[in-house]
Amino acid sequence: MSYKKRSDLALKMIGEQLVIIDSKIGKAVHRLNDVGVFIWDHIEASSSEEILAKMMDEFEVDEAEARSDLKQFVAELEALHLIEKKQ
Amino acid sequence: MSKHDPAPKLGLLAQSQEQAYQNCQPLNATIEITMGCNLACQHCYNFDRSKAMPSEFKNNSLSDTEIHGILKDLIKEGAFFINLSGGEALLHPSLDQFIQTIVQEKAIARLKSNGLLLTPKRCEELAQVGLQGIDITLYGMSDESYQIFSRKGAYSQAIEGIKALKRPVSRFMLIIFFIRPMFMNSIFFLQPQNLINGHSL
Repeated sequence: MSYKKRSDLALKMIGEQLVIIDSKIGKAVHRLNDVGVFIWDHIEASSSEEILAKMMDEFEVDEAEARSDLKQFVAELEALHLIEKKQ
Repeated sequence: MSKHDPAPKLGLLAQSQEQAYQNCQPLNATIEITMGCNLACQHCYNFDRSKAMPSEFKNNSLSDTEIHGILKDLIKEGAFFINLSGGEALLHPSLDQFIQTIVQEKAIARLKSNGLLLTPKRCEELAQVGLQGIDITLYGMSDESYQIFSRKGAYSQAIEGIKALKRPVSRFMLIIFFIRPMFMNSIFFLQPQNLINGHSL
């Protein structure tokens, strides 16, 4: 499953974290940590399995934990309407 | 995080501001896009408005292309909250295009204004192109204070402008210049509340 980021979000990297301001739908401010930013950067161009493999390369984490974190994080982004499934 | 809980959200932005400060990242930027103004305030810091605009200002205004370039450069250098100011920023014929550039670059566009040129239609247009907020400066809270410091009749125009913001632009802030007679006038403390009632600041 691949995803598309909402085009109307305001985004800014501050240090290693990404601040997202959603002024239209959620009317909320979000902040992603370094792992969140890594997933966010790959979410449009890579499948879940590809992101998982890249996470295993980049971070010291076992597969089960990475898979669980990825699934939970993507579900949260989707619930917040920050991403949507590509048609 | 619940969208109904404002406290953590404010904390998040404050933390980000602090982190940007530690990193020397210019998160907030203001650009004066025009020296032109529809008021002639005595305390104006641009130039002496009782005289004509100095030729060095008149002949050296930034072109639209230069302003678009500066906005992009600011955002590339880390700016996130961009305030467009003046003079009176609403006088600039390319204001909407500048706001669009800021939005396209994924930053937040805000405006500093005296409010006189805001109408319901203009507010709708500004919201449509992506303006996120307006800071309006009031020079006192009466026709009298405007007559002393700025221009006769401008106070009621400014108030009409603020009322026009009611729906389209969800966030606005009033900056009110305190002048001595105000401290003697208790109604001053009541009027702003009436103006902003129902708005988030």
